[in-house]
Amino acid sequence: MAVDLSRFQESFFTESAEHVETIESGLLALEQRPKDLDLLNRIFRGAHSIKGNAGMFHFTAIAELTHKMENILDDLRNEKMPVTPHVIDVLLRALDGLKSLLDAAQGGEAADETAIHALEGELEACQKGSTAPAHEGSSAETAPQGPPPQAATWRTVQINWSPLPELFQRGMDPAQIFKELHELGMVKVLQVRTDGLPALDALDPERCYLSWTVELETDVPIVQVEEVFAFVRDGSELAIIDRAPKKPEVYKRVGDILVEEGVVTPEQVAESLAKQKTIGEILVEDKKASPQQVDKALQKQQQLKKNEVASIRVDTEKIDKLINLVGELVITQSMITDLSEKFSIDQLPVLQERITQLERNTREIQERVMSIRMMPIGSAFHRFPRLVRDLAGKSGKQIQLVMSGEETELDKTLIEAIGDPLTHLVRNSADHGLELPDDRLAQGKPARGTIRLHAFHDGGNICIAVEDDGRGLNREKIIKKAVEKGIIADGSNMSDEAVYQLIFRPGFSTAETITDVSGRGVGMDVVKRNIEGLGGSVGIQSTMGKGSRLTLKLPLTLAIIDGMTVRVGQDNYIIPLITVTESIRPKPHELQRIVGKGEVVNLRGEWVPMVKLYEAFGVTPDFTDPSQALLVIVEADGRRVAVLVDELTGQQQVVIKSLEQNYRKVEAISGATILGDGQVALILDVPGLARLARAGHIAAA
Amino acid sequence: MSTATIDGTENRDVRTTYSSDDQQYLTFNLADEYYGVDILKVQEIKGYTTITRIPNTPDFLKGVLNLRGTIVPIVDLRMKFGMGVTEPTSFTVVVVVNVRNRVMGFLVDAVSDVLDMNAKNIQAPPDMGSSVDITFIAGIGHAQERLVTLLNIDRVLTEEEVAVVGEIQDVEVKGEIPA
Amino acid sequence: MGKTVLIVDDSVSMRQMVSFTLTGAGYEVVEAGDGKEAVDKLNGGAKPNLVITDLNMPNMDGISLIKAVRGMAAHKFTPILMLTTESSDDKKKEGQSAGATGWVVKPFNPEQMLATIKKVLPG
Repeated sequence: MAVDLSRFQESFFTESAEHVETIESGLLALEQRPKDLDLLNRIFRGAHSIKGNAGMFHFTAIAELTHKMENILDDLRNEKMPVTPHVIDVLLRALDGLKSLLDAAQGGEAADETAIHALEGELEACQKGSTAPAHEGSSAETAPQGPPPQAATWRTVQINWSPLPELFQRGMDPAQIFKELHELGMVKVLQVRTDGLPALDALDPERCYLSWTVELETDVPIVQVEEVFAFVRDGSELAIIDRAPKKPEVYKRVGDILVEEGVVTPEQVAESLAKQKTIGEILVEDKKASPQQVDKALQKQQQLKKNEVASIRVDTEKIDKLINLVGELVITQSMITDLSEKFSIDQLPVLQERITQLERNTREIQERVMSIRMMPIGSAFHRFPRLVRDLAGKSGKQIQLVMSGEETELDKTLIEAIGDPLTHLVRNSADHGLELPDDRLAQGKPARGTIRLHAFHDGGNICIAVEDDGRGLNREKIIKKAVEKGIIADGSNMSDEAVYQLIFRPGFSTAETITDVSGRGVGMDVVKRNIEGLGGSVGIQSTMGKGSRLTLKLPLTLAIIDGMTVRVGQDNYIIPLITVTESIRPKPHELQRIVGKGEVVNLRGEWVPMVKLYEAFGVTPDFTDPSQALLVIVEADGRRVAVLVDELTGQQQVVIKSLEQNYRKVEAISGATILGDGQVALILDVPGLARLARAGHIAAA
Repeated sequence: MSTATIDGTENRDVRTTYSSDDQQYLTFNLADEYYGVDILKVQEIKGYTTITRIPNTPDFLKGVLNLRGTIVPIVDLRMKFGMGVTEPTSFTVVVVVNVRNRVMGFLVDAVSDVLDMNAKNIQAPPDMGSSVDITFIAGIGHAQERLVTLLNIDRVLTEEEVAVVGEIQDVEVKGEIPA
Repeated sequence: MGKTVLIVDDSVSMRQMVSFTLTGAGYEVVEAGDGKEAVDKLNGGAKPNLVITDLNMPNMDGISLIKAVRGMAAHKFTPILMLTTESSDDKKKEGQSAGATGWVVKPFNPEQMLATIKKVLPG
């Protein structure tokens, strides 16, 4: 029976990715707590599972690499070798190799085989360096088993078998053995020996006291006969009389043979292997392709990889609950149908009650379905211990990373989307926020700086704070820089928060030197724009000399937002609640017209540009005078804008629908939603409105 | 919302059998002119309901409506053909079609028949010189002593008119607010 | 009538694969994600003719599960196969002392799995 296993590969990859994360975070933690056996076991289990499963799917390279990692882990576990930074280093690099192999197996960029071999060499060297040579034999375990044994000639094989008395307690039935022997040839003699039977009163019916002698005529190789007894050999007395064929030597790599013969050391092999080049490098050297072409090809490859169909693993429990809820929904629905068939007005209360029930069912189902997309944010945090370790190593700083709230759940798409912005912030903290150990000591701080990552729920939002105890933001320096760059004219009257927000302006960078780790063209403005693109915001708090805290605030999901409904004339619009800071009815003296630049409103001393929706959208409003209407103050791109509307009509959660699916993007509109009465309402694109305001009042800000 | 008249939703299944030689056209009228569209492009016919206006879009784009959870743009075909605004009546309907993988609705004064039209009864569109854009006219058909203008419904809106994201973004920055 | 096999493994892909193989061969399959879940299923009345269990699992590992199963009157003699890797020879011994009937060595192909089952499952 041929079975196609490829359909299960996707689960394998999902699972392996999880194990890789476990191993990575485990290794990093292990460096801190080298004696933690539980931790080691967890890491071991991860590697072990990948190895076992990879073998099942014929990913030999993955199985081999993990096998070598597993060997080291096993030695660490059994205290055959100590946990040293070097071992952790080697294992971490092997893990990177493993990731590339997994990527390759998923159809990504082909893994660098030579690098993998080099890693394997290093792993072996690392293990051999500290353990007895007795362990050497184990490395051949995953190698092919050699050619299948050839058929032997017809002969008689004699078997004497006295099983372990506990045979039955191991779930084994001796009859199975004989049945199997029978399939190998002809059982000529089957003799039961009862000499082991005790007296009846001493007989335990659950124990096996019998032994057997079998003569089998067969042409199968002896190993196949031995195989029959594979499960009962341990503890049994077993004699199988025949000549055993010699096992031929298994295939070996040249490097391995040379090492075995003592010609070279594993390190030398690894070193030579490291000299091998990737196909891209060779093509460039041979002038067959330009580095740009190779880069482009690599990028294309990356892109192709991204186009993969995404899948989510969902707990069966979540699905079961959902199915139950749908069951309830169906029941409620049939009750209502039933009622409607013979409805009389005196049953109105019953109908109302059932409709309430229907509402409850629907809401619960909505929540559950949403929760399917929810994943703990921890999976976005996993990369940071490693990142911080690397950053610390490169910059000569001592950095401690403290993470909390990893279990906080949010939408899977968001988790993927916040990875890069978060990385940028953590890098920024490590690179610009924290000082060198000597500087810290001079300020009376501990030499080791701390970066804190903290995720938590705040109402319908999730907040992720990246905090460091470094030097903090320097107000004066930021203002100076912003003036230099022409971003602002004068910052002396600005609030601290407003000054800090300047670092998010395009083209702003306070880093005095561009280092390897940050400042690679991606600025804080990109972080801010990405987060706002997700319907979120970025807040900054900072104290000079004490540190800074950047907080990302995001909606729980992209599909539903809390909206404020506003009305202008006969049109209803939705403003995402997260952007709304307040709404006011301005006094006439707070309004001012700046000649040629539009209107502004004085908001506690700050002049905020105004967007009159009725003008922008060409509708007939109830009021044209702002002091009779309402101004909704919204914030986007770090700027405030006052939106003139007739009336606030309420707040509600709305499901975002695309306008682009059937039409196209519309200026200042981010999408649409369907209101309770089935009508469509448009959702305002606040950054778009802000741009409108800017376009009309260029220098007002 | 700019216009609001409702007179019962009227969903008719317009797909019936047709012989392979003939092509079937759903015919409708705009004022007193008759038009036809290939029935295979028609997804459904929907009674006129409230349409939500979209700001800063061409006049012929009446707005969007909710078609079982999907947001569907609605084109006022009279406006598009320069015949003035459609004043909704109880006959006004929305012909929902599939155009280049998008679902769109066309507002028409009334639907009349499904016509079996043989190719020999269809003439090529007349040459009107360059003054009239006729790319969206597939031909002129004759049926029951009436002239029916057969539309290439895919071509009624140009690529730019259903343009994808991006292009208008540039305009945005320069865009002015009426002062 | 099909025989029932209980598969215990924390790896979903492994369970899917084994389950697919066995179902294809006419067995009925019950799945459990770890030893604890398996014990719950057995206490809950599941009556498998065979148990196949992984050894390395969170919550309750394979060896503890085997011991637990052997402690249940209803499953005292039920064949149990453990899934192991070649490197774990000690584990095979440990498993057998705990009461395992046999093992299937990972990586295995479906045919090997079915052959091993035939080896221990009477009838």
